[in-house]
Amino acid sequence: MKLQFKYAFLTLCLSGAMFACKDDKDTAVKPVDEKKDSIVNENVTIKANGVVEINSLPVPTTSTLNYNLFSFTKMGLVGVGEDSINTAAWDLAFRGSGLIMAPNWGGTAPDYWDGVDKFAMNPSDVMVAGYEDTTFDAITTAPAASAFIHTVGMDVSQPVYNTETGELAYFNFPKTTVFVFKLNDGRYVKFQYISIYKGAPEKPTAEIYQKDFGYWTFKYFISAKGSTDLTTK
Amino acid sequence: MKTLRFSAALLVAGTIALFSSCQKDDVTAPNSGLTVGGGLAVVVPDGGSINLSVAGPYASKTKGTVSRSGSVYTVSNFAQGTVTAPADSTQWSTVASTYYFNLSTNVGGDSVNATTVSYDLRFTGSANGDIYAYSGAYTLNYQDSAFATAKGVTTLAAPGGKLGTNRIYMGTVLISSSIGWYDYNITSHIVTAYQPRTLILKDRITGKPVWKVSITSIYSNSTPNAGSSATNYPYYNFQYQAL
Repeated sequence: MKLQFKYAFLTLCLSGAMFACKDDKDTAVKPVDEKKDSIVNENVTIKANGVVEINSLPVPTTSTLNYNLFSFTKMGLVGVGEDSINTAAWDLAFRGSGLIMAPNWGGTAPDYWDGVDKFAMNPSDVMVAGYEDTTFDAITTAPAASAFIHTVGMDVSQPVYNTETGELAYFNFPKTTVFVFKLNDGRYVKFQYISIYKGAPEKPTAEIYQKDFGYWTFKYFISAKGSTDLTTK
Repeated sequence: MKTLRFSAALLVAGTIALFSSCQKDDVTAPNSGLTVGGGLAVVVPDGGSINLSVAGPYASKTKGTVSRSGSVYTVSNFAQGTVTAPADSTQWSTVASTYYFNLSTNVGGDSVNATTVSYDLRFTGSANGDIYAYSGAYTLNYQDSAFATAKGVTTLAAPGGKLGTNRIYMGTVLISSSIGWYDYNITSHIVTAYQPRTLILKDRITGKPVWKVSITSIYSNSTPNAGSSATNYPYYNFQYQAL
């Protein structure tokens, strides 16, 4: 009986030692500072690599005559229409239906056209450079200052027409265009427009266009201050 | 908050008035609310005109003038190109294969790539005679009413989003008919604007009419420079007005 107790005690000690070793091993392979995605709200996620994903954000203004004003830093809309447009609080305007974009160029740039000083209404001067036939991750650094332009219209949508009736069937969004913005504080933003349909389906159809139009999906990455590094992979 | 906004609006209005005081007429453009980025529409003084070669971001590739009478804008001899004719600075030696015009900002537009999309009307195809509306914002429609009275309420959709050739004549004999903005005579090779036909650009989402446009002529000064096979095209002459 004594012997049996000794064996039982030995078995217990060995098991304890083995489990202890297993625990140590598990702890050793876990990174100490593992980064995780951060969910800001139902439409905004900050990925572990710093990329901000805007997913199926409803387009609030559906008239083409108005603008929805987006702030990269605030990760959301900061105003709609004329009340907010003449401020530097926004970076990128989306024209009503959500397809057409315009960076906040306060109208202050010289040589735009004669008499432009009449419209010098806000101090913003966001500029943009465009890349075609590329991918989001392939753009790893901001271009030289000379590559940036002022523009009043950006659009990556590609209309697809019904081959029988000739009417517009839907818009495609090939993910081959990437923009880099230069913000007022000197930081750079790598940006890709992904979809205007709810859930960002890979292959839009006429039915999806009719049913699920009006939800933005896009992603962007803001560089550190003073850095041109836009690496996201 | 309302008071503050009103004060700010007054300040802005005052600033505009101050800077614009050298222009004797009212400078409040009826479509100035369409501007973005601090206001980028070129103001055409009421009763006056602007030269498209010096106004707008694409002035260097644009020729023509825009004049204004109240809320009606009249475009004359609009064309885009790359090399100015040596003998006549209002003409191009090399015209672009596609023209762009921005009704919102009253100047020539562009669309080289996804970063420079700025237009409401696109003129392309044979003799740049096919007209499209910018599909990101509008659908193209038409109604057979005079420009002055067209309201854009009862309209028909432009087939395939395009308005180009309407009817083709051989002399006085009609040989082909479709839906477009111009009739073409294959005997004289002269293009004539079909009237009354007013182009209506509708908001692609809401369906509301936004602009009405009437094409007057594709020839410079609205007159073919010969009775047959005129060569002074494509120089667009048209009117537009916000609805």
